[in-house]
Order: sequence, then structure tokens, then C-alpha cells
Amino acid sequence: MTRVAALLIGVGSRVTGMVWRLGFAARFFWATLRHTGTAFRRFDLTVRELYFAGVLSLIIIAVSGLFVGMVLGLQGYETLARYGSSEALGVLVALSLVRELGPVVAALLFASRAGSAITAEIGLMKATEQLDAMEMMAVDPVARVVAPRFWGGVLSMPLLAALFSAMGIFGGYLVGVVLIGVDPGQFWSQMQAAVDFGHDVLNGVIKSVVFGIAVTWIAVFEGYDAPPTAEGVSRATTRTVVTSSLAILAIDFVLTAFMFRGA
Amino acid sequence: MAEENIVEVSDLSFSYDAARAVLTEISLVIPRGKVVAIMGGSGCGKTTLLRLIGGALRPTGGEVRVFGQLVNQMTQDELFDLRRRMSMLFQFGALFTDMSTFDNVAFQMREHTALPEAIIRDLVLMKLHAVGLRGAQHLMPAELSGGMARRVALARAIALDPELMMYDEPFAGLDPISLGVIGQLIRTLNDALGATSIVVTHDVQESLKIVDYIYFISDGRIVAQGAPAQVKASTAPFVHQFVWGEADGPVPFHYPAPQYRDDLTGAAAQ
Repeated sequence: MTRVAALLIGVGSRVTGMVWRLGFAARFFWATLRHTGTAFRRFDLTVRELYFAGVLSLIIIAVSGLFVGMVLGLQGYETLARYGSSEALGVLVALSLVRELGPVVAALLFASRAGSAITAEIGLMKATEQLDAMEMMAVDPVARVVAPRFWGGVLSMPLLAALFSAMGIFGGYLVGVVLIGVDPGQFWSQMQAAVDFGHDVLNGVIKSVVFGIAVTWIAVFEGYDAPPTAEGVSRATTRTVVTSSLAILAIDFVLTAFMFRGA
Repeated sequence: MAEENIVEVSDLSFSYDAARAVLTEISLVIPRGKVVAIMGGSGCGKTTLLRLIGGALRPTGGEVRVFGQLVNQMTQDELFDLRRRMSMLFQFGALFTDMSTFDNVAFQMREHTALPEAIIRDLVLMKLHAVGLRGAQHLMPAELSGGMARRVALARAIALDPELMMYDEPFAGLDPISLGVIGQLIRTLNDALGATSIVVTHDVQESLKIVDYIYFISDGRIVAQGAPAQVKASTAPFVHQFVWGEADGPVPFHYPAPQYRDDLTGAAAQ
């Protein structure tokens, strides 16, 4: 009987702990949004974060995009050639990238490259009392440290996803047209005709903005909430990558269901 | 106004959870212009007391007044207004690692004033000169030794000429030379700025040289107090053990445990 009670108490305290943390995360999100003014009024702070989250992620995003596009070119050609419609390769590559792979893979890479760095930086600032020191100097760390990082991440994400898609399409072109010999006119003109700006490109951009908000929110929150120890920061960094990857995939399914209902 | 108390703490209690009180019914005053030490062993609640005075924690009982204002019930904006008049030196400096020495000292000036960059530069150089590190203005925190980092943090803490300075273990982990330098700086800066200082420390010998008054805390309570001369002459068992660094006394060497024999024979586990 006591073991059952202990088990129930354990489950109960874990559940209340999780609900409490979720509530804190929501309040933290709200506090971050309230300091949006600081992030834009002192735009130099946000530009610095744009550099760290965005510019420093350029290489991994560009190279990954290129390879993903090249693989799409190869696999797509394989399948399309069976049905004699290999000239539709451009459409396949572009739609796959713009609608799905661009936003999703770029966000996954962004989470592991920039999200983990944001968590580790804020977590270490907390562990070394830098956030406490800032608060004692009457400077709100949420305004000075968190908000610029949040908006830096949110602004970088759609740009990185666009770059990923562009590099992917270029990779598909390299493999499909230059290497395999698909007609370049067909490749580009079919792509241009079939990809709709509002339905395909814009929805892709919306996805990447939502992913940007989710990943950066998780990253700044995990950093801010990390226990101020070496172990705490390392766990928080891992949690950022795991939680935001799962969040990206789950949100992607929901958004896709709303955006492309068999249309 | 000479006798005005900058900080007044009365019947202050604090605990993180109901089971264990960190501070119990602490009452003390910090008069204007004085350097007051709060001493006690590691983990006795000294740093917690400092955080309560700074408003970073809320007491579970009693009250804290700083500059005559009740800190307990302040909103964040009111707290931030209050904190512009006080400053804190953290145990390991807590310098911003992504900024140079210069930018660390300039941080508060840039955040809280609209001073032109040329004046900020002059002020920063003056503060760094006061701690002897004008030549280190371009170094990053990672390039500074422990003692230098502490001095830069001190320069940053006095950036806006605070009326109340709080030092959290300013002597911890320093070599004898840096230790003496920091000790002297605390005293001279306090007198030069017309400030009031609270030094939380367990370094008896260094603090006795520079402070005006000492409170001893043990188990979350004030157990003794007095001027340095009284403390040195004190025969109270706790003060004597603390000042002369004896291993055993009112503060026991052993953490509470079952009888040694029972533990070894396994009787304690049953």
C-alpha cells in the first residue's frame, strides 16, 4: 500500500513539476515578448545575435542544402524517369524544398547549431552569476540578454530556410541538368509554372517563422532555466536540441495539415 | 544625518523550504560611511543575507530597510530604482565574458546614462586607474588573473558611484598580495566615495584590518558582534574558535551523524 502511495506521489509531483515548468515557460515567453521594444530600439544588440545565430550558421545551411538538393535530384530523376516525366524534376525538387525540406531541415540544423549555442551561453552566464550581476545593476537580463537573442533567432530562421531551399534547387539543377542531362528549359519553366508563390513559397516562409519562434523560445528558456552547474547546463543544451527537434516535426505536421489539405 | 543607518534589518527570517531555516530573527544596522563585516562559516547564510538586502530574495519574516525604504514589498521597477544607488561585488567577479575589461566597466554607464562616449571613456579610465588596471582595458575577462578580475569587477561596481557597496566573499581564492590590495581598495574606495560597505567574508585576519564593525552569524543567527578590537579580545567560545581558526569548538568538526561504532557495525542502519 505504501509503495503504491509512494508511486502515486512520485507521478503526481512529476506531473505538477512539468505543468509548473510549462507555466513558467509561457510566462517567460510573455516577458520576452514584452521586451521586444528593447530588442528593436537597441538594434545593435539584435544585429550581434543575428550574426551569431544567422551568419555563423550560413555554411552548414548552405552545404546541407546543396547536398539535400543533389540527393533529391538523383532520387527524383530515378522515379520520374520510370514514368517518362523526368522533365518534371525541377517541380519535384522545388516543391519538396520550398514546402517541406527547406523549413524543416534548416530548422533542425538551426536548433543543433544555434539553439544549443544560445542555451549554453545563457546557461553559463547564469552559472557564473553574470545574470545575477546584471540584475543587481538594475538591468533586466530578459530585456538585455534574452530578447535580442530571441529576435535574432526568429529573424534568421526564415532567411536561412530560404537559403537552404535556394541552394537545394541549385543542387538539384547540378545533378539533374548538368550531370544527368535533363533539359534546362523544361527544368526551369515547369518549376516556374508549378510553384505558386502564395500557396507554396509563402506557406514555407510561415513554417520557418513558426519554427524560428519555437526553436529560439525553447533555447532561451532552457538556458535561463538551467540549473547553474556544469551538469545542469549540459543537460539543458541537450534538452534544447531534443525538444526543439521534436517540436519542429510535430508543428510541421500540424501546419502541413492546415496548409495543404490535399490541395 | 551622520548617524543615519543605510541598512536596517529587523527580525529577519528566511528559508527556502519549511523544513530548514537559513536565517532566523536577524537584526542588524549598517550606519552611513562605515565598513561592516558579516562573518561566519561557509553555508551559514551570509550570502543569503546579502541577497535579501539587495532584494534578490524575499524574506519569510521580518523586514529589510535600505535608505529607509522597505525592500520586502517592492515591485521590480522600484527595486531597480533602489539598485541604482547600490552595487555588489560577486564572489568571482561575474564579469561579462563576452565584453572587454573596458566595456565591462562602461556597461552601467551605457545602460543607465545618456553620457557621450568620450566622457564614458574618461570615466572608465578613471575607475580602472583607481584599481590599478588602466593598462588592462583591452583585455578580455579570460585573459585576467583571479585577482585582476576581482579588481575589474570592483571598478565596474563603483562605475556609478554607489552609496552602498556590498561585497560577497571579496577575499576568496586570492594570493596574499591580491588579498591585501583588495582589502585596501575596499577601505579607500569606501572613504573616497563617501559610501557605506557591507563585506560578507570568512577571512578574519584581512577583514579585521579594514572594517569598523563585525557581526558573526552561525546557524542563521547573529551570535556575536563588536568592533575589531573587541572581537580580538573576545572570550566568547564561538568568536574565539572563529578568529583563531580552531578545528573544534562550538562549531563541531563532525557533521551530525549516528554513533561511529553503530555506523561501522551496521547497528545505525537498523
